[in-house]
Amino acid sequence: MVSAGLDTVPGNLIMCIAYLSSGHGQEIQERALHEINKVYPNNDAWERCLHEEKVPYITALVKETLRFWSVIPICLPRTSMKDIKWGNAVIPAGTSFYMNAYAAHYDDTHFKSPYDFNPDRYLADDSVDDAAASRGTPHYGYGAGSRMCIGSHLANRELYTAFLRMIIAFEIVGPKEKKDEAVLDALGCNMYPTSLTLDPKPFKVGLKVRDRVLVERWIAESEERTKDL
Amino acid sequence: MAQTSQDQSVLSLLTSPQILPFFLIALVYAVLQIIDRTDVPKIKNLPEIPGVPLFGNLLQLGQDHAKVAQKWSEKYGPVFQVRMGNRRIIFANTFDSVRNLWITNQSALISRPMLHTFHTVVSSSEGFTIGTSPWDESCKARRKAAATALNRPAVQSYMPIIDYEATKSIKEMLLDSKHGQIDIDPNAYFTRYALSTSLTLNYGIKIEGNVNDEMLKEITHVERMVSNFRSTSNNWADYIPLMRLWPGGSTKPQEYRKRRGDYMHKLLNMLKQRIADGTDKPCISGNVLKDPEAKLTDGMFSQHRKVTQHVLTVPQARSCL
Repeated sequence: MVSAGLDTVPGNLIMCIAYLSSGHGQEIQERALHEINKVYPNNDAWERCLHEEKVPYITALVKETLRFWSVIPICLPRTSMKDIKWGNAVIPAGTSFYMNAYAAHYDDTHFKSPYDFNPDRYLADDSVDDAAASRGTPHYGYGAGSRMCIGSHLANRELYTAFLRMIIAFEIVGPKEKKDEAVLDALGCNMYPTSLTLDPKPFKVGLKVRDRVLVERWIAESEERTKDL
Repeated sequence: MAQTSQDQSVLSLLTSPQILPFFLIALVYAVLQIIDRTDVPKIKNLPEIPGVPLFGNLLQLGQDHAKVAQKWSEKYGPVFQVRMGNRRIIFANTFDSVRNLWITNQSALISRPMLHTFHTVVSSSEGFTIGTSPWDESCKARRKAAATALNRPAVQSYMPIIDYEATKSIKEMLLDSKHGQIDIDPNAYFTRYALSTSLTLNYGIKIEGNVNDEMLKEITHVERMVSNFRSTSNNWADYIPLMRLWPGGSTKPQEYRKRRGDYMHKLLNMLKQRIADGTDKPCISGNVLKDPEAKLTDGMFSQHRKVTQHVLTVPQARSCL
């Protein structure tokens, strides 16, 4: 459990931040900020996000991030314990199965324009719980079925909190120097193609503080709340 | 004596110029048959990607397995069989085919294969029973315990940790970027966010330092290397048993196994010391250490961060994921 989520959570977080720093990312941030302010007009989103997940656009941003980067492109392998029928074939018990999550996430018979990063595709699905989503599993970012990632609730909360706080604290912009720009392609951004999980190539972003007084107040309040932790 | 002369005559017959070529061909054929076998024979009525002896499709799959298999699915359909060395693998490449195999057939597809590098070399360490990830009663119990510690209400009770860690990372980014004047790489800040959250849950121990903390760097590096020994595209010895004889082939996995054991012990000892001093924070491992006989209960951190008990050792739980 120490390592579960150790490289996957940051991989998703970091690549979403990379995307937000791009041209299209500016539009997404603007929209996200608008959606957050609609739910929380009193500047208390920083704290409220700990208790509830009430901004559907941020939930959708989490799901789209998990789909788009497929941090484990070929999921951990499975072995069948009973025969499985596929078409006219009977696949005998004891056979290994590899899920190509990357290809499933870019399957255009299931996702409209899969190569576009578009959180709106998940807005119609307002369920927060990926394991029990009313419209079925929204993506295979946590695998699927009986051995699906057991830490998905924790990971979702970590991602939601970090995205929401980053967006209200900063305007995330591209770096000053071209060489620091991020590679955004789901496989191209990986430093080691044969790694199990995505290990993003280094890049930089600019962080313009939206409201320094407000951000410093939120930080101080959090520090006060968690001083005994 | 008679036996020996008979052996010699068989040998001289086999090495005689008339027989030798046939004998060699038969020998090579037999050896090829043995090393070229797959764990599961070819499956009828399921498309198979043409490959070469011994390697199967490993050479064609190259480095980007996901992309190559995606391309193949355009020609061979959503589900096909490939050969990776001596293993026959079913690849599913579309959203619906994955749903059918992984979700509709989830009770049949519940186990995990044993892979040489991860299960034999990396995991056989330190007395941890890690690597028993094929589905059995113990794995079932451990997965249930982990699920209880990570269910929705349990996770809600961990939010103070996330509050603390998210704030710490954002504050550091604010300072290190000189309030937005200098561009920064967000990687280290979020790696610490994830690791420190996980360590606090498991051991009640935070990464106290900044993003250059030594323990942070060591654990992050080692865990990533260990996860790569589990990668389906990184370890040819998993597929070609002959490669396991390669001298030094398991040096790296064994080095990382040791480094992993070192900090696991260090963390556990830190926790034991704190329990002895009465300064420990409620956490999953502490719970098990204090009451190893504890029955699995609702396993929730309450709002007062009080821990109820469950039978779960941390390295064990991981092997079941």
